Amino acid sequence: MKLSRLAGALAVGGSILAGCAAPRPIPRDEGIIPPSTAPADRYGIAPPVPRDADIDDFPRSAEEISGPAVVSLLNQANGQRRGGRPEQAVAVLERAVRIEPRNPFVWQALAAAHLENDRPEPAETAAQKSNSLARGNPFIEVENWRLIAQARAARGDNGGARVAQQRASELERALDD
Amino acid sequence: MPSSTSARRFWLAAVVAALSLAAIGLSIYLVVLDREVRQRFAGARWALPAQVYAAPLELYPGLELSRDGFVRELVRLGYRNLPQLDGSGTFVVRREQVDLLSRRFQFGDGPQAETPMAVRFGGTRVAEIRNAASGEPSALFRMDPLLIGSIYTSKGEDRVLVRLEDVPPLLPAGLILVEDRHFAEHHGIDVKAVGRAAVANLLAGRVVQGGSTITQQLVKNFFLNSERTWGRKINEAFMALLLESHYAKNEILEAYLNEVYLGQDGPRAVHGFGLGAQFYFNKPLDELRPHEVALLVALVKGPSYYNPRKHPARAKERRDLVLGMLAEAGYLSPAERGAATARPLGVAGAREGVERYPAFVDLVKRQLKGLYQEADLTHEGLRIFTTLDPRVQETLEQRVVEGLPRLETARKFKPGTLEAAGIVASIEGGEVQALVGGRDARYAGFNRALDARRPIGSLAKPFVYLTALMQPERYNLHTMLQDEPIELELPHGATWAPQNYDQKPHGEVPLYRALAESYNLATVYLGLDVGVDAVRDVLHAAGFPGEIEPLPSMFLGALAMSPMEVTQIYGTVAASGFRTPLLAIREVTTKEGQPLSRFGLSVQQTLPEESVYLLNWALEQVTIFGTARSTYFYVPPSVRLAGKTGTTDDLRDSWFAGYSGDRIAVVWVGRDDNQPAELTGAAGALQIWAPLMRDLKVRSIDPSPPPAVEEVMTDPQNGLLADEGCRAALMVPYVREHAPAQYSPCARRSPLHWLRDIFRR
Repeated sequence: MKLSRLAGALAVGGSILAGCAAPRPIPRDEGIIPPSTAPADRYGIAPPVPRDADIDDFPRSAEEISGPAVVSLLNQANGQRRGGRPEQAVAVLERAVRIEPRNPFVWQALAAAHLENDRPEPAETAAQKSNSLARGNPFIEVENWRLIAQARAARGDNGGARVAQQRASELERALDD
Repeated sequence: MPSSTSARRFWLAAVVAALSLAAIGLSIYLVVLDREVRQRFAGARWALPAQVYAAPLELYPGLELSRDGFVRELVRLGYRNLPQLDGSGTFVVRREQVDLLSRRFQFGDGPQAETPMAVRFGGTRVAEIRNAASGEPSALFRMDPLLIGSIYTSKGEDRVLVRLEDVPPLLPAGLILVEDRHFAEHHGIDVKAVGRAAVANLLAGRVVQGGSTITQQLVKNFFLNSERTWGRKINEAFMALLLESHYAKNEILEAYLNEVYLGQDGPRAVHGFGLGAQFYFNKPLDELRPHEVALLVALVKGPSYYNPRKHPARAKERRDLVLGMLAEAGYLSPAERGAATARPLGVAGAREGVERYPAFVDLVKRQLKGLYQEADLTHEGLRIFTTLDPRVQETLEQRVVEGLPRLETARKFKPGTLEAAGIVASIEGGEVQALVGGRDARYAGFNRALDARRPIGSLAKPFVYLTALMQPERYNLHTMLQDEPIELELPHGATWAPQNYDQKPHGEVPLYRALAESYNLATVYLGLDVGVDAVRDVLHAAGFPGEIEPLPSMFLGALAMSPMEVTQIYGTVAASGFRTPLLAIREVTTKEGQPLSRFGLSVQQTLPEESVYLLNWALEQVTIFGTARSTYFYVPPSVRLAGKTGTTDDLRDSWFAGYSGDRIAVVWVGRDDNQPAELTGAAGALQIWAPLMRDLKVRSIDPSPPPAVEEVMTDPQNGLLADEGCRAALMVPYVREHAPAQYSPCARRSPLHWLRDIFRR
C-alpha cells in the first residue's frame, strides 16, 4: 500500500475532525512557540501529509532497527513494566536512549513507562519526540497517539485526549485498509 | 612535743585532703574526657564527602571503540595490564581481544559483581562481549565508573571510607610493624616504646623517635589540635587509655586507617587509606600490590617529607625500608621483597589524584544547589553519578591546550594571552559530556564556560533566520534578501550603521547564503522585517533564560551569553526544536546505594520541527561553503556537520557553536582583559572545534527530513523549480505546500523553455 493513499485518508479525516476538536490548552510556558503551520491540535508533530514511501518500508518493531544492546535493554524494561516497576524501567530506557538516541521505539517505550509511573507530562513529550524521530512511520505514530491520548486524559485534558485518540483511530483504520 | 605532733597531723591531713582533691579533680577530668572520647567515637566519626563519578563506559557489540582505545579506557580507570588476570581491576591484552576482571560496583540501579569478561574487537569496533566464566555472549556490559572528585567541607578534609575486612592484610600488618609493634598487647600507651624513644632522643640531643602508639596517633588526629605541649601530651595519653578501655583493637585500627593524614592536593587534605590509594595509585585500596601498600605505610611518618611526587628518591628509600621490615617479619618472602623493591613507585599522574575535572565538578555542585544542603553533600558520603565522559573531556582539554598556543603564535601574542572555554553535550539527552573553563583545565579557577558572559556576535543570526523560516508563507531558504547599506535611528538618538565583515554590500542574496556567509546587512533587514520581539521569543523558546533588550543590534549579537547558555540554545536547534535542559547529573544515591534523586531525560518541543530542519540545512551550508568551510580541512567529507561562527566588535570574541548527529560543541576564545583577540570565529574557535569533532569521531547528521518537509530541485539563480534541463540545480528543503510552484526558465517543463523550443524550430 502506498502511503500517499493512507495520508490522503488521514487528511480527510483530519479536516472533518478539526471542526469538533476542543482547543487544547497550550502549556503555560512562555518559552514555547506554537508551530506556525500546524493544525490547532498538532503540537510539534507532523501533520498528515502526502508521503511517497511504501508503507512496507517502515519498520514495525524495535527489533528491526535496534542493536542487540538496545533490544536487551528494551526486554529488561518490558519485564520491569510487567512486574509493576515502571520507575526502574524508565532508568533502563534512558540508558537505551544514550546508546541509540534517535531510536523512536525506545522513546515510545519510555513514554509508556512514564505513563505507568504516573508521570503524564514526560510521557507525552517522550511520545512526541518518538513521533518526531519516526519520520512518518505510521506503525510508530499510531501507538504514540494512543499514549498521548492517555497522557492527556491523565492530566485532565479531555479535549486534547479526544483529539489524540481520534488521530490514533484514523491511523489505525488506515493501516487496516 | 604536742606542737610538733599537731603540726605533723595538720600536714598529714593537708596532704590527704590535697590528694583527695586531686583524686576528685582527676576523676572529674577523666569522666569528662571519657564522655568526650565515647561521644566522638560512637557517632558519625567523619564528615564523608560526596563522591562524584563520571558516566560509566557501556560496552556493546557495534560500539565504535578499538582495542587500543579500550586499553586506554582501562588504564584511565586504573586497571592493570598483566600477562594473566590477577584479581579484580586487571586485564590481559590479546591480538584482537581484551580479557578483564571487572570491579564490583554499586550502581544507582543495583550492585554489579566482579565479572570476568572477554571483549573481542573487529577493526575499530567492538565485535563481541562474552562472560569468560560462563562463555555466554553478552549484549551489554557496564564498566565501573571513574571517580572524578568529591565535595568536601571548607576544612578541606577528603576521604573514602574503608572497612578493615576489605583492606589488603598487608596494610594493617605493615602499619603495626612500622608504627606500633606492640599494638596488640598495650593498653593505649607503650611504656617501653616511650622509654626507648626518650633514650634515643636524649642521646641524639633532638627528637629522632616518637613513642606514640597507633591509639595515641589516632587520638591526636581525632580529638586534639596539633600544638605540642605537656598538657596535650597528658590528655593524649589518658584519652588513649580510655579509648582502649571502651573499644576493641580492630575498631581502633579501622578508625586509624580512615583517619590518618596521607597528603595534600591543593586545598584538599587526603585522609585515610581508601582515598590514599585513589590519590596515589588511581585505584581501590583492595587492588594495591605489596610495593604500593608499603609506600602508603611509609607515608604515614611524613606525607609531605616523603611526598612521592615531589621527593621520589626519599619516598622510595623509605618504601624499601618498609618492604624490608615486612620481609623480616615474614609477611613477604625474600623473592617477593626483591620483586617489590625492584619496582618503581608507580604513582599515578603528575599531581592530580581524583580531583581531575574541577570545572565540571563546579557545574555538578551548582546543579545540586537547592536540592541538597551543603552539609548533606560534605557529610553523608552521597554518591553522585554524573554525565561526564572522560574520553570526550580529555579530547576537549587536549584540543584547547594544543589549539591556543597555535593561535597565539599565529597572532604573535605572548604565550598565555588567550583564554578559552568549551562544552560538549549529547544532543537528544542534553547531557554535558565535557566542560573546560579555561586553558589550565586542572585549575579550579574562573569557570569561563559558566561565568564568562560575552557578546555572542553572529551566533545570534540563526535565530533571526529561524524566526523568518517559521513563517513559511513568507520565507523559505531561497527567499531573496537585500544586503544593502542601512542606517537606523536608535532610541537615544544615535545612528546605527552596521557593516558587513568585508565592508561591502552584496545586493540580492538567497536567505541560506546570507546566513552561510554571515552577512550583517541582510540579517538586519530580515530581523527588522520579522521584528525584534519575535526574534527574542525564539531565543527564549530555544532556552536562553536571560533578559534581551529589544534593540536591532541584537540581530548581530549585541547580547551576552555564557558558553553554557549558547550550548543550550544551539542544543534545541540541533535536537529538531526539542528543548532539553543541559544536565550534568544522572542520579544521586546514599552511600549504601539507595536512590535519592534521579535527573531524568526531560524534553519539550518549543520550536517547530520543520522550520528548524530548514535552519539546520542552512547551518550545514555554513560548513560546506560558508564561513566555516575550513571544517572539512579536518573532518572527513562524509560527516555532515552544521554550525555557526561568531565574531564580535574589534575581534574581541571568537565563537563557534556547532553539532553533528550525536554531539553539540561550543567553543569560545578571547581574552580575560577584553582586548581584541584578533580572531574571527573561523580563525579562532573553529580551529579548536573542527579537530575536536574529528577526534571525537562524531556521527553524521541524519539527513532524512520530517514528513512536513519536501526536498525540491531548485535553480540557485532564482529560487524557482529546476529539473534535468538546468545546468546547476540544488536540492533545497521547503515546508510542504510552500515550495516554489513556478519553473525556472532553464527547466524543460518551463513554459519559457517550451516557447524557446518552438522558436528554435
